[in-house]
Amino acid sequence: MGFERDRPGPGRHPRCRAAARSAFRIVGSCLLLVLAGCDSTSSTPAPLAADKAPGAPWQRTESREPCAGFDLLRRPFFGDLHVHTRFSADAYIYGTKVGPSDAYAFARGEALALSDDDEQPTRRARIDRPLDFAAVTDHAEFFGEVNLCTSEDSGVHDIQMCRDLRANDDPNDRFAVIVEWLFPAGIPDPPKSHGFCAQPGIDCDAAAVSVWREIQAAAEEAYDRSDACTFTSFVGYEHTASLVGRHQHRNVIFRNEHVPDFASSQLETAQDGIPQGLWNAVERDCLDAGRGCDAVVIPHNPNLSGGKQFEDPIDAWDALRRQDREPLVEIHQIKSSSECRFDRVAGIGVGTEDERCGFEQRPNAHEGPDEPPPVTAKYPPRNLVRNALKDGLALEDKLGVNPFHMGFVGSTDNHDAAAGSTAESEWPGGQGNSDSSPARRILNQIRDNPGGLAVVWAEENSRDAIFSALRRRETYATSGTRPTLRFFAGEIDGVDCGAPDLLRRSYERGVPMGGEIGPGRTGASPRFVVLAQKDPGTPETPGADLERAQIVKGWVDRAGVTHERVFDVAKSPTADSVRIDPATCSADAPGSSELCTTWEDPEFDPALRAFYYVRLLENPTCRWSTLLCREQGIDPLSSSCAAEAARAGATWTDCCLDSSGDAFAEAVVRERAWGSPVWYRPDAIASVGGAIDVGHGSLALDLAFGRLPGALVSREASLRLRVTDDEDVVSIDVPPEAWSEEPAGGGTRTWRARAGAYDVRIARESDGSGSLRIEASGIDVSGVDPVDHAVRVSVESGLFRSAHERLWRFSGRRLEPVAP
Amino acid sequence: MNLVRRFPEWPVLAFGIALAAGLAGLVRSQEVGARPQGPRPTLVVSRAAIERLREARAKESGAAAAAIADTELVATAIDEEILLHEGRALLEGGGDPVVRRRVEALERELAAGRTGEAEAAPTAEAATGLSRNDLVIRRYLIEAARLALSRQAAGPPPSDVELDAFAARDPARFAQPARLRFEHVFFGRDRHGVAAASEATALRRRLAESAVAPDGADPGLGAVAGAENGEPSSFGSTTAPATALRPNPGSPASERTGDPFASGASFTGSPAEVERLFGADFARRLAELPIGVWTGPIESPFGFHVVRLFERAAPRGARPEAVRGRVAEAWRRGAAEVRLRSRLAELRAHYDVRAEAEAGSSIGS
Repeated sequence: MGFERDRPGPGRHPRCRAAARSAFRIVGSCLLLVLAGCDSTSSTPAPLAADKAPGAPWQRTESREPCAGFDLLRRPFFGDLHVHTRFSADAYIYGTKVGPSDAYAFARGEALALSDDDEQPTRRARIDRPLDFAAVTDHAEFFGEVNLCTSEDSGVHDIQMCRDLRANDDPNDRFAVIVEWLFPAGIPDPPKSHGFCAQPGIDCDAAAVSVWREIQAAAEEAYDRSDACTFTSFVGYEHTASLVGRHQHRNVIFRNEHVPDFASSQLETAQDGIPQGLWNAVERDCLDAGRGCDAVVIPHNPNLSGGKQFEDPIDAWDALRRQDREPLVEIHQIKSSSECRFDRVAGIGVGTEDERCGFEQRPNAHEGPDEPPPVTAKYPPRNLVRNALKDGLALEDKLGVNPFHMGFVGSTDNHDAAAGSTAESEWPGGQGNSDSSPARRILNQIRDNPGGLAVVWAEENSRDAIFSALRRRETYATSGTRPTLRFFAGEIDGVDCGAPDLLRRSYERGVPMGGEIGPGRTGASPRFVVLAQKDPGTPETPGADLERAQIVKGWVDRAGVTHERVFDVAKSPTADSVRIDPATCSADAPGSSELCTTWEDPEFDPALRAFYYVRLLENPTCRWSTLLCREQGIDPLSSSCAAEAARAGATWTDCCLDSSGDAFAEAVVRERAWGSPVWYRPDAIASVGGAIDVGHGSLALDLAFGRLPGALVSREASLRLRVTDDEDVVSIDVPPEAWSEEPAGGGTRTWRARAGAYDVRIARESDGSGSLRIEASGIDVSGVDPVDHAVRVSVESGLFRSAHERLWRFSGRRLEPVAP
Repeated sequence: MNLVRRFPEWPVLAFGIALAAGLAGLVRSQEVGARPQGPRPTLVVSRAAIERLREARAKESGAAAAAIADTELVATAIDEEILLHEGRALLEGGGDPVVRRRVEALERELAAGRTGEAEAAPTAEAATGLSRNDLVIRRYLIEAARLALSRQAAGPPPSDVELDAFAARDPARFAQPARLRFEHVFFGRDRHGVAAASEATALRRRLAESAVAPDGADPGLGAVAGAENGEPSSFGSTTAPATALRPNPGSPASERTGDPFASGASFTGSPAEVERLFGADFARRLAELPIGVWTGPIESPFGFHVVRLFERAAPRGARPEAVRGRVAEAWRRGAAEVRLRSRLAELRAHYDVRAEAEAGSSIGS
């Protein structure tokens, strides 16, 4: 598949066309245009070699140097895909005055000026370790309004609403301003902009385009296009639907510099539904716009959605659309973890008995006004990712499509532009002047945490490589630390943790995190490989040892009931006894520097849909709030905490929440990582055999199915079969009328079709298993890279989708999968 | 709230880019920097101001306060006094109405903070202009002047040729980082226990004797490809002969050893990237290794590694088009600073600047 490389043309979006007409009528906007480069093409990079290393399983869609550090077996890259700057109204209201360039500079290791309690940039912060990639994702709602209100020579600068935005009040007095500014994102039929945008001479659309261009320019300027590949930036924004405080927030991350002319916010898309309105905009302005644009949508904070983030799909096609648009969920960030929930005071969980689900929880289930947090029994199950994943299996049984087929990333949601500021030690906060001083952090934001990181397994640190990893879900989330986590599943026989070629063999015989597998040859459990290494940390703050690795399994039984189970698959010798040492605020016993195991599911049933993901726990460490309170002379780990807090004053009372029986407050945390799931589907492609003979221009592939999918049996819809590396090697469509049944042989029924040069045959055995065979000769497969590389074989028919991706070997001019 | 009381120091150093952006559009630059009429104004830099600067600089840089040179601080203090004077000029008759309006608003906010009223009338202090010595307003005036001076004579966006020339003047700034390329055999501490180091040492000896690579290890395909393609070594780099880069696929099975390493058995990247994945001590040791020779074991937080370094390339210039985006950003930020420095240098000639501690001695010109 090729990508067009044309530059963005004149505004296609109605608002953008208007903006293009009038962009220069606004002096303030023009200033920003000057800063960003008034000519939107001025930041266009000069042509560079667009080469990539042989075997890269993605297309190069941009001009850049290939990375010197290309690794076919992939490396971990750590990033933050959720950061706000002054262009977000809520960030500005709380005093953040730094912009996207500052956020990227911080991510690369430069110092950042943070606002103090008086909204003055008197604090300095520097990341403990630079990131590999980042995306600034400012709230697209009110881009233009914030721009005009903060440009002193705009015509609305001195109106009350703008003065409210800029005012420096105590954060506790700012709620009214938040409501005043953000309420349109919280009502069903919002106005397209604030009222002042209708004033003569005021053009909020032009000002919004100006901001959007500055965001793009900052990303371009931060992106390392040299072969050193030290840093990757992504253009992105946040779409912020919050009906009555129920957060249905999503970040849009674009693959390259070819992005829409206008960032469509909830204000423009509300009439088409949530999230369908956003998907419409992404499809119209990006995916279908013919400009080389590609994007993923990443929902976040389902924990604050009141159960709305993962609602049942409208129908199967809507479910399929969600699967395509939203391959990932942000499972951990500054406003809590969304994996699962366990109330240690009540002794019950939300659809779980997993006591390790009390990690970084907020009491409330949404941010609606004046509603107390629900008791655990009434907490919305779909606020939690694990529950959504389980329900996705049941929905697939019912609809034929799993709408919640999501891998995991973490990020910060930092509103200080401090991308990747996740260190618990000396955490400077992340919500403007709401948590700009120690007292305010404890008083206002003790339920917050520094947030998480997104980790991708990619061949190199470039936009195409990282974006492709996001798309195929080969990602994991961390709660802010940097352990390394590998996870594979499949028929990975003969591999153990002593094998130095474990990674290669796992990619050849199995799938990494984020993939899907079908039944094995024997009906036995797939084999899972977990390989994890601790965060090495920094000289100042060494990383914590690992405590244990767990595999979380979710499945749906024959009655349609969902279940989950958590297996400890590897743990350190001290895992069950390690505690925090109050004297040092670190573990009282060493854990493991690495954990490696292979595992098989003792309860595996090949007929049942299931998912498996790894949760990796580190040894206990003191939470940021504990470290901060101890600096004030208040020890949350001490029985005298309450007395110490009382002496220090009311500000510090919350230092001692843990000892007062709060269900979710934690003085000690076990930092963790969550690997994207691997899904087991009984009707997925079980294996692929055969070869592509580049020398003779021929191909013969056999796809085996443990349970032949209904769509292939009925043949009522066209069958689309693709073999893809970085481009389509094979792409054939077989219409329903092309099939003819061959005479039965034994218990096997066989259908045959001809599609161009390809002979296609479906065979169904009496036990429900089957195969799909394609053969061709005299075809041009000369474009196949003559090296070992990943090949994806996919089948689509009607609603059915399945893909089989493995590392294939190239030898003797033949490219072929490795037999299990 | 009382803004003045809540500022513990004069954090001028923390201003700059961020506030400049916030102040964008504030100042009509032509009024700033006009030559003072009559005798040269005298500006006095107090010792207290210098010490505040020292404290702020130490906080910003992490350096010991005592290690910061007086000359640097005095120069900064002088600049700020000049900027304050220039900022105050913006409030006068021929000055800038936007700045005047903003200062009046600040005065109202200060007054409101003191009285608790949202829209307090200007106090008598404000009416007499005394509040313009207020710390908040001083800081605002300095930044207003700084922005105005930095924007004076701002030209059109630079061409690619100008950007390339800009980058060429400071090649180190836009250089690609040093690059390390190596493979390693890993012996996990948890898997091998106390024997990890000795087993690694034994392997290193065998490898040195047989000059073969460990069979079955996941080879660094990028590194191998580069070597096989005859990739030329970069300027300043040290690279092993190409033949030494190719893992030997025929080494005997008895050589198989080592554990899988999660990030792979080979690595190409900067020393900083090595440090982030392997730890600081490992990165430091790696930088000292000979090229093309199995060495070690080197300890990391995970265990011990037998390492063969293929290449150690010094920082080097990147192709101009590959870094033009970064250069443009630096130009945008730097051009304003250059204009500011230039104008401040010119303005110094028009002031008589004295340091308080050295009464009577002029340190301006």
